[in-house]
Amino acid sequence: MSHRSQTRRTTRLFHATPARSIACSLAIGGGALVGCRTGGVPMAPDELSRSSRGPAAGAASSPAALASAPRRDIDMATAVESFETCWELVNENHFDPDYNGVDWAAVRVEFAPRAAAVTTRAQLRNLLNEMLARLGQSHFGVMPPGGWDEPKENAAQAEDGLSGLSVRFVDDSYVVTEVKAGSPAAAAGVQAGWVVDSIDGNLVTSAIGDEVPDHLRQLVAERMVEERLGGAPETAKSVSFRGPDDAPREATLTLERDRSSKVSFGVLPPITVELSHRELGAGDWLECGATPAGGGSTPRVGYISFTAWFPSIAAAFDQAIDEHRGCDAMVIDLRGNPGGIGLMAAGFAGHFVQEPTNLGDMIARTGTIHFLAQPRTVAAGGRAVKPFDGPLAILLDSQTGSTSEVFAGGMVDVGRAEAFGGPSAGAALPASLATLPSGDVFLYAVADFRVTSGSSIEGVGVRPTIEPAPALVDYRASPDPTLRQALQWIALGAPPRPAATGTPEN
Amino acid sequence: MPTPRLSRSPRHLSALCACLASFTIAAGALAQAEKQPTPNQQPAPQPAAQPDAQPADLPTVDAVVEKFLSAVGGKQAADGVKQFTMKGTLTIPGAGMSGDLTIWMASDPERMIMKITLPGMGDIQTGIVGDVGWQSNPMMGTTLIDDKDLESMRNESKGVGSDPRTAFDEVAVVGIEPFEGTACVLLRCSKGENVSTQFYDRESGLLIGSRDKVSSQMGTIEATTVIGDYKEFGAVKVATKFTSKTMGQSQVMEFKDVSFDPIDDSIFALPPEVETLVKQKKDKGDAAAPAASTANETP
Repeated sequence: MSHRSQTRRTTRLFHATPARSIACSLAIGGGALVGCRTGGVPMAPDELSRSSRGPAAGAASSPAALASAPRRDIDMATAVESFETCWELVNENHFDPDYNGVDWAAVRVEFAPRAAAVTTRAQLRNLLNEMLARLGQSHFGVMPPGGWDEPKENAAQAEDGLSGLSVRFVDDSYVVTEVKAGSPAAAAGVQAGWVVDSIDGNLVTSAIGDEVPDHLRQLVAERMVEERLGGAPETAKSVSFRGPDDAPREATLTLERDRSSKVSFGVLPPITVELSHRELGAGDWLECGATPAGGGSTPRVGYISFTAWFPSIAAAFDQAIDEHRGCDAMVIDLRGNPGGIGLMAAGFAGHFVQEPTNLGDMIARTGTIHFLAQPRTVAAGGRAVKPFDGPLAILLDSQTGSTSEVFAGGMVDVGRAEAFGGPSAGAALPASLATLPSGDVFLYAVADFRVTSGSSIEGVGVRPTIEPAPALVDYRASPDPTLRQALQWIALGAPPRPAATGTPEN
Repeated sequence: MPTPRLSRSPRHLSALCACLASFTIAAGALAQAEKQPTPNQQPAPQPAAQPDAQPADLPTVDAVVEKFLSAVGGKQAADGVKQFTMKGTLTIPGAGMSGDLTIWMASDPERMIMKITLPGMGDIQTGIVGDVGWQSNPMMGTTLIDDKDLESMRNESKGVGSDPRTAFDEVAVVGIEPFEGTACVLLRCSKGENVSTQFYDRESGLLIGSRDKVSSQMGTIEATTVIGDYKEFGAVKVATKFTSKTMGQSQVMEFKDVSFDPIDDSIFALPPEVETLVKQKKDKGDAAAPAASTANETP
């Protein structure tokens, strides 16, 4: 059982996210990767024909698409109005007057006729997302109301089935980085460190369409593999692995119903928002392979993990901090955390700073907002408290996005924390939401985020500061090599980082 | 002590709402700090609109303000309002969020509490009681508003529909320009880094919009607000709908009920978290004072 498994950490924040909606899903929680939505999928070419791309994806107005198009559910006027609204919101609000090097006016000329030709909302979504992908940035995307994905045909399909696996692309392999305790994967004996070779007989590959920006390709690939591991509850997934010795392992995972705690927030679909925390014990150190310095006793380390930055966990976070305030060090695990409400990054950071500290600036056309962390010196009820001032380790991976990157990047940049694992997604553009005339929800970035030293996180991510991110060999040696690195750093007395690490350079 | 007035949008609320609706960003941040252009940042539009034409017979500031005050019931009626409660809703249409909004305001001593309850977000409160100002929300906890921002917000609290001549250091009529299709007289008002261009309906005299540049400890943002749906409550006329746009996000405040009934003092009681922060601030000040004194005494 891994450390994170014990914490009931939910890894599939955005349930059932096929390629077409990945961008959208990541947007809110973590760096809306819109732009990469119609990208190729990490599966063998022969499977592309039955990929989960939406109807008429990327070909909304082609004769073939129109010939086989489903029943019209949007009139031309609404489609055109939705297109114009979408285009204009970007035109008016994009933080970069050069639109990231894209001739946005020319994009309008190119796409407007195609928008007039769509016959379904799904086609329009695909078209708009194709247009937005031209920007090559996170946090631009159109999604159906009420869900990240295209509406399911029946209730059973609408439910999520979970395997309990988290997979990350490491050293050209899809590595199992977490097996959720009690999950089908755990029951089948799958272990962290195994490499996924195929799912239901189809090889997983790292082929990603050219439309996906370079910095988002790994994230999209990982999400696609996790998507392939998902499905309706009770679905049996046949998965081929390679174990630590490269020996083939087979497992059949019967997906379990997603029972995670979901919250609603405005037009966003229900999102799994869970937090867990505990003080790491000697068993945790032993399991991940960390050892106390000089063979002495293990430092007291508080560990907090949460799945997204939404207000429903704020009180729990405050309480967790309170419970571990007396620890020697703290670990904040943001792996797989795609973000949420940006304000919370500054609010949470206030638990770790002794003076007002700016995590960075949100820079829009019409102003700049500082992510100012005010020391949290009072607890609910009026009790005076002291912000935690011990060593702080933040755990990252490639699916750490958006608000998580704001928090991590800002804290690393000001020298208050060290980062382990990663680099993070590099998808950290503050964004707003709008509802289009078609009824779809449009997420669009309105600002860049730059840490105090001036670097942008978008496209770069937050890098590990003490050691390089774990390689495949490390995952095979430890069920949680990232946590091991953090604990070793703490055990050594939290030495300062080597020069020129962590902060994005751009 | 100034009398609370009723027909201008609390500008800091616009900023708050815009931020709250900004996913992955620092929502809730009441903007602040100077503008810091960056290489890829388009120069922000000047909040003070440049009118297309400036007739030679522009009205004076006094004439514009007096006409406005007359339009909302007269200065005497407005001065007669010593306290009020406004209840309504705050909606962020794009985000699909809507919740309750209540503002309590009283003078002698000056007090203001604004409470927003948004589903999924919880309670967001801003308060000013005398020299103490605070903000509280689930994400940021409770924090005191720094002195500079407090002054600005107190000014704003006075100025909910107030006389811009007292709310700002500089006020000037800068032209005539249509706003939302209505011919308006423009007043450019400024105080420190805060700049407000106010649009007064040339015919009715009512304030129907503003473009504001609001600075605070957390940055500077610009907002455009459409003010409307004036309704009579007692002897005064009150704007009941404020639609603001900030950083690409619109938010709508609509007030359904305005009451001039006495407000229970308990509404304005400092929350225990605020009391603690005030004590900490005082202790910090007391601790710093001797040091400063010592420094001054250094030969």
